[in-house]
Amino acid sequence: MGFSGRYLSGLCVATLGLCAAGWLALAPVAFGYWKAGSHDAALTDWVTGAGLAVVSLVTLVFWVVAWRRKLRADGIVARVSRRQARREARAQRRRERDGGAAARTPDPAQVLSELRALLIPLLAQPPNSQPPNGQAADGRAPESANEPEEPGEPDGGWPDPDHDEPGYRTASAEPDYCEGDGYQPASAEPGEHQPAPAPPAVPVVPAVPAARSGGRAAMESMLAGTELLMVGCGEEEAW
Amino acid sequence: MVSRIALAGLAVIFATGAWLVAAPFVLRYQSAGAPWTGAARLDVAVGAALATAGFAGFFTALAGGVRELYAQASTGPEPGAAPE
Repeated sequence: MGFSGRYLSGLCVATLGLCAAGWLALAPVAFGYWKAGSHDAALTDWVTGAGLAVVSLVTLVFWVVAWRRKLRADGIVARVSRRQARREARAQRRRERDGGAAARTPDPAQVLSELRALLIPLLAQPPNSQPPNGQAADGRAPESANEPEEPGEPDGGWPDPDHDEPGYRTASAEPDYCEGDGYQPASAEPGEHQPAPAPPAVPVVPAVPAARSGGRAAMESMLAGTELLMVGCGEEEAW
Repeated sequence: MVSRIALAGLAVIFATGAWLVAAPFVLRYQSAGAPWTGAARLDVAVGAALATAGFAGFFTALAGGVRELYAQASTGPEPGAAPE
């Protein structure tokens, strides 16, 4: 019978007592000795039946609780309640969903677009002592933007003048893509001036002023690097 | 504690059965030597069934509890083992 026989016998006896209580409550009426003058017997049966019903019910509940505790202790029944299990399952699903979103590979085009959107306002910020966007009133870049900087000027640029990254071939380390449509290559000769483009009809990336901080130079380098990356990957359409 | 209360409930059921067997004679609605009335027969029959069931259930549950104790003792630490 095993260990469950103990609980089964208790449950069966409690159930039998409950049935007996019901029988005792009905018997005086069913057999008619309630009206036949045997009031003591009827009263005894009712009172005993009521007490037996209460005791049997309490016994039944306690045996059920004891059996459930035993099953939980043995690991047969889950230790958590149904509500708690539901809550934990919901939290687990949420964790899996968040983890799956984090584990997804980001779209490179979207990442680069976001990077560009972040960098453009920084490039458009005016320097400390220059007019906004570093441009003249007619939209042209100031002359100093196209002129080589004086040697030893601390512009935060690259110390190596032979740096061959795009936009850093001139001594002023100006990004070339800031002119016109933003993607015109610069002249190979540093001293050669390009004719000033007509004012664009659409908002373009403004010319970068000559004086820059080291952080801006790093951002321009990043932007140029991403351009190279996009072209190399064949993703220029997405850019 | 829960098992003890449940066990006590079985004992009370047994006691109720015994009371039902004795009630006709204690309350004198069944005179000694007279033919048995329907109420007395019914009470004695129901009481006997309850007492038997309560008795059997009580000792079965008690025996199951003792068996669990033996099982726990056999799976527990050795009695002569040195405490860590």
